[in-house]
Amino acid sequence: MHHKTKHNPHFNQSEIDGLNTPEMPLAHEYRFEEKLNNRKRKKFIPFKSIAAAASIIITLGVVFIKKPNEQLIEESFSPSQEITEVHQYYENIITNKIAAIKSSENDDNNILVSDAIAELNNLKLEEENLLKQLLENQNNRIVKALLTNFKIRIQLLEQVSQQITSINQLKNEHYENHL
Amino acid sequence: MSSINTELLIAQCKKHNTLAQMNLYKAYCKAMFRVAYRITQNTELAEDVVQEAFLTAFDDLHKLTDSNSFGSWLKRIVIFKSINLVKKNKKHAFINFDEVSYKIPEENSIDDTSITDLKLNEVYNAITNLKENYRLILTLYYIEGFDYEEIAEITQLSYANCRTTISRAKESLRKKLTVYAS
Repeated sequence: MHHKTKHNPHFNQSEIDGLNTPEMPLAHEYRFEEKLNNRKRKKFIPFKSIAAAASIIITLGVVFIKKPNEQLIEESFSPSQEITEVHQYYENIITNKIAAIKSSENDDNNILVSDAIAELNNLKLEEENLLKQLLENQNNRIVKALLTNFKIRIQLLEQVSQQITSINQLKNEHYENHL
Repeated sequence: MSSINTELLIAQCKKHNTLAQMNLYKAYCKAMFRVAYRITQNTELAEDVVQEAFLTAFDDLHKLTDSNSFGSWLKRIVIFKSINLVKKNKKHAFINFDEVSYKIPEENSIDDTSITDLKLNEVYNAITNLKENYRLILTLYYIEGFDYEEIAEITQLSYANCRTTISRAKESLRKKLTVYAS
């Protein structure tokens, strides 16, 4: 597909851009971001997988609320496999978000990005620690701590991508939109 | 926006990077909104058209071979979507395009320079007051700068039919302009 930018043979482009047209409605960027995210969610995380993840978390809760005298049943239940699945689910989200942030890294935000990555590595170490503890002692509090650890990392990543967006926005503000 | 920046952004968008997609949107939305508004004459519809066009563009970005032509490629998507919307909303007005199909095209009955010597504002105002199909076709011709062939493709008219319609629309525009002048 080749569509070369042609010049209007009748009128000057800058004059055309100056024609009296209204401003874009308020918050249009926000609405667009919504549309974009809605579509991505539909594409990459279908509702089924959210439901599956939720049911895994509920199962985990049920498994760990059980009394220690049911240890035999628990062993055959193999909670570690379910933990692995939950772990995998969050790990995927986090890996994708880190990749997104790294790919938008530039001179304006590299300090922000490298700080965030360092903090994420700390949290990752903490998570590994928690996993070790969980193997030794299957305790509901450790599972909760683990889920909180994932939540914090995802929140951190979201904050960083918002900050990157606003840095870019400031930088792009002076770009004239013309064709 | 510099072409290197655009190229980088487009490369990121091809990888479905949301930040890059938002930045590309921010860089082009205002220009695209003006194009959509000139056709739809409605801010809400124009916003919808622009956003839908961006979503389509992100899906079809692999079809774009030359990043430098992104702007004009996107503009075409915006125009297609705007015209379709106007067509859907005002079916009857648009059907008029076909009424002139049997006529032989009148060769350059109106000299373009007599129109383009006038102030753009005047011409644009007169165009917006023409009947719908003339308004659309002359907006594509004078304001968006497409040639007969491109307009025929966009409006899905035959080349001859397109020429005839433009020629009649120009006649109608000239009458409007002389009314204003006197």
